[in-house]
Amino acid sequence: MLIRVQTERFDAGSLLNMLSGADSDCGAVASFSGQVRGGNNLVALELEHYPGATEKALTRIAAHARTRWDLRQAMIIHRVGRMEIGEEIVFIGATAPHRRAALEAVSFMIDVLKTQAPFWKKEFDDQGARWVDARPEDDRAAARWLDDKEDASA
Amino acid sequence: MSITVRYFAALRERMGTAEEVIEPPEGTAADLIAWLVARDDQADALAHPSTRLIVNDEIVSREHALKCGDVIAFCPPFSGG
Repeated sequence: MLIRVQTERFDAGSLLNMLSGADSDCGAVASFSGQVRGGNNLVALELEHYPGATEKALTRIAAHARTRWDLRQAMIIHRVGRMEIGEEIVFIGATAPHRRAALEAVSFMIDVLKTQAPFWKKEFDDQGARWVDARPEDDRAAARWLDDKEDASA
Repeated sequence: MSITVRYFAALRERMGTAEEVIEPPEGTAADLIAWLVARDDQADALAHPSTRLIVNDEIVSREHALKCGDVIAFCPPFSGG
């Protein structure tokens, strides 16, 4: 399990390669990369977090995924600080013997991260700065996993 | 009892500080919120239902009983990922 909160940029391709070579009994490597979306005159994002509590929350999310699905690796890398349009924000990865476990675990981890990990985005545009509101659809996406019966192991 | 209070993101800007040490009476997180709002009008945002509470690095409900030495963080809704 690899959990990291960092200001430095990362290369999602290298992380994916690291996962791909990790376990010979894995038939599946799944990942999600989130990046800064342009539009609406956005210039940059700034991400704040709660040091200590954030790492604990991410560790708990990855550990939860590992108890729910038959995984070999689980990885969450999240950046904080200032990011320009197109820069990477988050990388989530999982490996498993079979694809359904890897795909569902990645989906679970990003959905739950959105509502359970203490990160806050501030958007900067040509008018100034504003804090990003939480989105109801993110709450619903996380609730879909957390309300499920824990019988989804693949 | 002595409690460390931390404010994050929009709540930090509203409260004008990132952290303070206070001496509220014993009680729950909800009691502390009422105490903070009574002390300072700016603190009404802490009572908003969307505000999340983290005590000693764990998310808790407003019924959580606080004890001396706790660190409680007031968090706007999370928006990472």
